[in-house]
Amino acid sequence: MHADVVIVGAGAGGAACAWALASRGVRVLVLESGPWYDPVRENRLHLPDWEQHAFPEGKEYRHAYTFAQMQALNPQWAQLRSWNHNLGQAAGDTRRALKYQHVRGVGGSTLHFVGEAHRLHPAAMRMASRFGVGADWPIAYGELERFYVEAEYLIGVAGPLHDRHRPRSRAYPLPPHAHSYASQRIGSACARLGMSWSPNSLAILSEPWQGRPGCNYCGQCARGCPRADKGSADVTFVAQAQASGRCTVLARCHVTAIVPGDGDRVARVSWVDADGTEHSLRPRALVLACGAVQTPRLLLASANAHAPQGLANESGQVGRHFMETLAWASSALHPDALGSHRGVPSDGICWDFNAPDAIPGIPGGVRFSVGMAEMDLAGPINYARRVASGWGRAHRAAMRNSFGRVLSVASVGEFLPNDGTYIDLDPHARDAHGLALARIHSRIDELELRRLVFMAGKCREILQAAGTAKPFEEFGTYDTFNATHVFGTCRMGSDARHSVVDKDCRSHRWRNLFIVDASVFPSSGGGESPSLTIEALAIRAGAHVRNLLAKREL
Amino acid sequence: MPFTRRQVLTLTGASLLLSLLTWWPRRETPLVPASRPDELSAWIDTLLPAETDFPGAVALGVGERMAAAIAREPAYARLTAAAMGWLAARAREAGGTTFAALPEARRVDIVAAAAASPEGSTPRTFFQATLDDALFHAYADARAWTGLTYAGPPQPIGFPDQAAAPKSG
Repeated sequence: MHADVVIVGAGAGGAACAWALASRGVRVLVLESGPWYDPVRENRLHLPDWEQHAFPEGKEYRHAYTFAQMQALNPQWAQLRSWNHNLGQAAGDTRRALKYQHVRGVGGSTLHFVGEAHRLHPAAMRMASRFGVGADWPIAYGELERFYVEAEYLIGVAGPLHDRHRPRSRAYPLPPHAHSYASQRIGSACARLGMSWSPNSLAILSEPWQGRPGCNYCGQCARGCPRADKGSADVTFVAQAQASGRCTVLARCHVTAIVPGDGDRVARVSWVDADGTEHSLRPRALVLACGAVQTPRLLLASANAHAPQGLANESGQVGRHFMETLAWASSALHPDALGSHRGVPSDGICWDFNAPDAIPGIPGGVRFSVGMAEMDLAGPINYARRVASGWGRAHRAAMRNSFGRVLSVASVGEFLPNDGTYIDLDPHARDAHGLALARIHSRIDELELRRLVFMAGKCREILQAAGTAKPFEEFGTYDTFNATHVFGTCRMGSDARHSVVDKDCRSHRWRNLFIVDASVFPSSGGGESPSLTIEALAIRAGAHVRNLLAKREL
Repeated sequence: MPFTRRQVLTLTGASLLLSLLTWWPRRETPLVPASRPDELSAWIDTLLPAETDFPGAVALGVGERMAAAIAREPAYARLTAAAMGWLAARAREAGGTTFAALPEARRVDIVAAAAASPEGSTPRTFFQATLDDALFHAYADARAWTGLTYAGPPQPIGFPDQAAAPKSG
C-alpha cells in the first residue's frame, strides 16, 4: 500500500485535507475507525416510525470515552436549569454528563450536523490581544478567507448576499434558503426587538449542485440525509478525493499505535482493519483529524522514549484548553398553526451579539437561531411526550391544539478555556485494542454562566415578542454536559511553549505530524458552527503539506 | 448542532429511568405475579382511548409492544407486577372483579388516582412510565396522525411548502 500522506479520521478536517492533497497529485490513505454511512440501509425517514430512530446510534458509530466527576450545581443559577413541563428537571444536585455528540464514520459528525457553514468572526480570532481573555489565533481571518471560498464552492453553500461581519472575496455559490413559515415569525419577533434576522449560511443545497439534488425541507438533517443534498464530508470532499484516483479510504480501521522515532519524525502508524488484521506503515506525513477529544487521546497514548509525555506534548498542552458547547434553547407554543415541523433546521440566524464585545461586560459572542428541529420538536412522538400534557381524551385534544405550533429559539455562545476543562487518559478504562480511553473534564465558570443568562434571557424575549405562551421546555448546558462543538486541545500558536501546532497545523517539534481538526482552534468563536472553519484550515494545511512534499522536506 | 433529538430522548429516557430507580429502593408493595394481559391492555386503553380521529393505543398494537418491553426489562416487569397488585385492589374497591371489567368512568378515576399519587410511589411511577411508552409507540403509527395536519413521514416528499402558512384540515 503506497501513500505519501496518511490521514487518521474522515470527518470534516480529514476529508477536506484528503481532497486538498489528492486533487493536486498527492497519494493519500485515509484511515477511519467508523463505517461508511449507507442511507439506503440505515435511514428511516420514509417510515412511520422514523421518530423512534436517531442517527444510527450503534457502537460502531461512537467512540468510547469517560467523564470525570462533574461540578455541583449552585442555586444561584437556578434560572439556567433544564426542564420540561411534563418531565420535570433534567439534572439533580450535580451537573449531568450527557454526551459528547459525535459520529465516528466516513463523514464524521457532518453526517448528523444540520448543515451550518459558518465563517468565524474575525475578532473572535483575537480574544487575548483585543479582549484580554483566551488566546489569539496565529493567523488572521484574511489568511483563511480564500480557503473558506474553496470549501464553500466544493460543498455548495447556500447563503445570503451580504454579511457585514465577515468580509468575503466571492459570493456564496448558491442563493439562501427561504425562511420557513415559523422562522418568519421568529424573524418578525426579532424585528420588534430591534434585532436582525438573516438567512443562515448552510451546506444544504438550495438548488441542484454538481449532481446532487436540492433540499426538500424535511427538517431531519440530524438523522442523516438520504438525498445527499446536505454537504456532509462523505458526499463532498471524500467523494471528490476518491474521484481523483489518488485517495484510498479504509473504513473500520482502528489506529493502534503512532510511534515517535528519531529525527523528530513519526516513524510508524499501525492499525487493525475490520477483519482484525494488523497493518503498519511509515508515513512521509501523518495527519490527525479525529476531533478535540480523540486526537489528544491518540497523542497522549503515543508516549515512548522519544516522546515521554506523549507525542507532540513537549509543551504539556495536549488535552488542555478544551472548549465545549455553551448552548441554550427555549421552546413555547404559539397560538397559530405554523406547521413549524417544516423547513431546514436552522434557516434563520441573528448575528447581532456574535462579536466578542457585543454583550456589555461579558467578553465572548453568541448567536440566536431557529431551534425546533434541533430540539427534536418536529414530529408527533416528541409532541406527544414533551408538548401535549395530560392523558386520555385531554391529551389527544392537546395534540390537536399543539401540533405544528411550537417555536424554539436556540443560542450558542463562546466557551473560554479554563484549567478545569480538559482531556486526559482515563487510567481505568481501555478500548478493545488496549488504548486508554479519553476522559472528559468539564467545568463551567462564571463568565460562561453570565453569558448563558444573557442567552436564555434573549431566547425568552424573542419567544414573547413572537406571541407565544410561556415556555414549556428549556434546555441548557449549565446543568448538562452536552457538546456537539468541541475545540482547543491541540492549540495552534506561534510559541511552542504554549501551543501544540504552528500556524500551518504542523507540530512544533515533529516535522511530519499535522493536525487538522477543531482541536487546533485557540478560541471557539461566538456561536459559529465549526465545520467550515475546520475544512478551510484543513485545505490550507493540505496546501502546506503538498508544498513540503514537493520540496522534499517531508 | 447544539441540540439534538438524542439529548432530548435521553432527557426523557433518563427521566423514566430516574423514576424507576427512585421507585425501586422505596418499594414497599410486595411483588405479585403479573396480571393477565387484558389488565395491561385496559390500562393502556384508558391512558390513550379511541376517539373519532384516533384508533386508540390498543388498536394500534401498543399493548403488544409494551408487554414485550416490560418482559425485556426486569425493573419494568417488577414495577408492572407491583402496579397490577395496586390496580386489582383499586378495582375491588370500585366494585369490580378486575380493572378491565370496570366501566370507563371508574377506570378513568383509578388512572387519575395513580397520576395523583406521591412522586416515587408505585402507581405514580407506573403511570408515568406507561404513559410515556404508550405515546412513544402510538404516535409511531401513521393512523395516529389523523387530525394533526401532519403530512409525514418526512421523506420522500419532504415539506416543499415550508415557507407558506400550513394548510388547514
